[in-house]
Amino acid sequence: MQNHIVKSFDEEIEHLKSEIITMAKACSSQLEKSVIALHRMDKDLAAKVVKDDRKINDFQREIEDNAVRYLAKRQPMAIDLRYLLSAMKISYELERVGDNAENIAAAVRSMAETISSEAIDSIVDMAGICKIMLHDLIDAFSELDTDKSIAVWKRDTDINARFLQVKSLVVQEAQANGGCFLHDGYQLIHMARCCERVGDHLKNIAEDIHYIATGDPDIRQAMNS
Amino acid sequence: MKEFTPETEPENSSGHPHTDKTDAGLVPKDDRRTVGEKTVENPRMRCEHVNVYYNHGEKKAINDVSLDIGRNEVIAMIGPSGCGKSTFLRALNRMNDTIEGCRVEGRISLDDKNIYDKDVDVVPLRAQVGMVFQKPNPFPKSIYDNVAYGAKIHGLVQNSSETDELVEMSLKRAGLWEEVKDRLDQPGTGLSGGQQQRLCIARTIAVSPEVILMDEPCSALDPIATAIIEDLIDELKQEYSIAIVTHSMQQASRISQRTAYFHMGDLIEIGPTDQIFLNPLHQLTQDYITGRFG
Repeated sequence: MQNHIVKSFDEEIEHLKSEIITMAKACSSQLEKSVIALHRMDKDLAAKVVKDDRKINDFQREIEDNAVRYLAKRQPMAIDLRYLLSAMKISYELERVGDNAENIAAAVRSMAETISSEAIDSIVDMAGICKIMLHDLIDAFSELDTDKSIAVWKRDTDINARFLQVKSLVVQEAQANGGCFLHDGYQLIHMARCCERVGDHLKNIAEDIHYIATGDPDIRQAMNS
Repeated sequence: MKEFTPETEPENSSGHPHTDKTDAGLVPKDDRRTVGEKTVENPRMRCEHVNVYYNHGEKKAINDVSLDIGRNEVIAMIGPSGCGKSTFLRALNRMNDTIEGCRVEGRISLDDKNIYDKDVDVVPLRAQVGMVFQKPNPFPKSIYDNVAYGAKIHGLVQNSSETDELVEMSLKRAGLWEEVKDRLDQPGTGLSGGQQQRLCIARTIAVSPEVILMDEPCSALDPIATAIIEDLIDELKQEYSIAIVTHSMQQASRISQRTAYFHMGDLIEIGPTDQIFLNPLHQLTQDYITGRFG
């Protein structure tokens, strides 16, 4: 993405890239903290995750503002245009990742501290996979590596499968435990759904990276070829 | 319950040596064969294997360029200075004939007739394939005469009422009528730069061209005059084929349906304008339109 005749444009693109990577790392941290809070039933940590979502939102606004400014100032073409447009989309997807981490944390705050469920381990696993996907996306974005973005895209199916597993697990546990598990069971399914949505947003980011690198908006076509 | 641990440690996300993979899939710089669709169905002009030499063959300015100019389309020709785009444009109505030591090879046909055939008279040819230059160049005559002059010498009008009608129609098509209708007897050189350029377009239209060539027609104009000309070009394509050379990528992307990128005499890439500016196929095109070192 470098080597523009106008050096300051290189600096602006580098700045935008750095902002997106910082935002992605912040989202990863929020997601991690939300499931740590779940695992430990740490309501203080959950409250902190909810509070810190504001910072993620601020990141998105700043990235969008900068991308719009650079679009207006540089009137970019080809890969530069795709980069700036996709930067805005990626920041939106990351903001939604942050929202889902916040939703998980908010659900933790409403649950009983004594809950014991196998579903919690599965949700932690789902978040773990999302975190790896997010790290791989940071690499893919840094290097505009289409192979890595395709690998992340494919991994979303694993998250979807695990969501269905959590759902049936919770249903089984609810049947075994009766009405007292109803609220917490619902919250667990909600959290698993949040992880599943995070996977969807990461999949969208993988598509955006693929689009920047190749100009092809259809990642499926690339996989088939 | 288990601790939160990713299944594998993620790769480091920073500290990579910068490996720019953005070039993947683009035709490499040293491959100078044209990429993209050179031909269109039912073209107005067809250029086949055109070579243009200056200095009696010492300098080759255009190297084996083939492309079509479609009916009712605007085709933009872009590229760095000295790439041959203006030379190519001038070959389309034999303007290069006036340059000592210039030779054109290949075939350029207008409605299937080779314009370089010996029996072709360049005077009517330049009416059929009109040209608008970078700097407005109205004749030192009245606004009326600027438009009427060409039609008169080509015998397109028989009497004064026909001439009046043609002048009004041409100025209307050029979007200048309302601004000059009350001062047609005043000198064309007294108009503003944008108005002079539109007067030159009216002059070109008046001789019933099929193709209008434009060599950076807005480079000397302010943004308002440029916008008016661009709007006019969009109107004119309903009736004419337009080939425009421009250094403004934004202008090319705004007004053209197809774009051709020239580099050192080679036609590197040609295709739909949207594709060229969003997702070019050749590395040289991408480097040029994104302002990178080529």
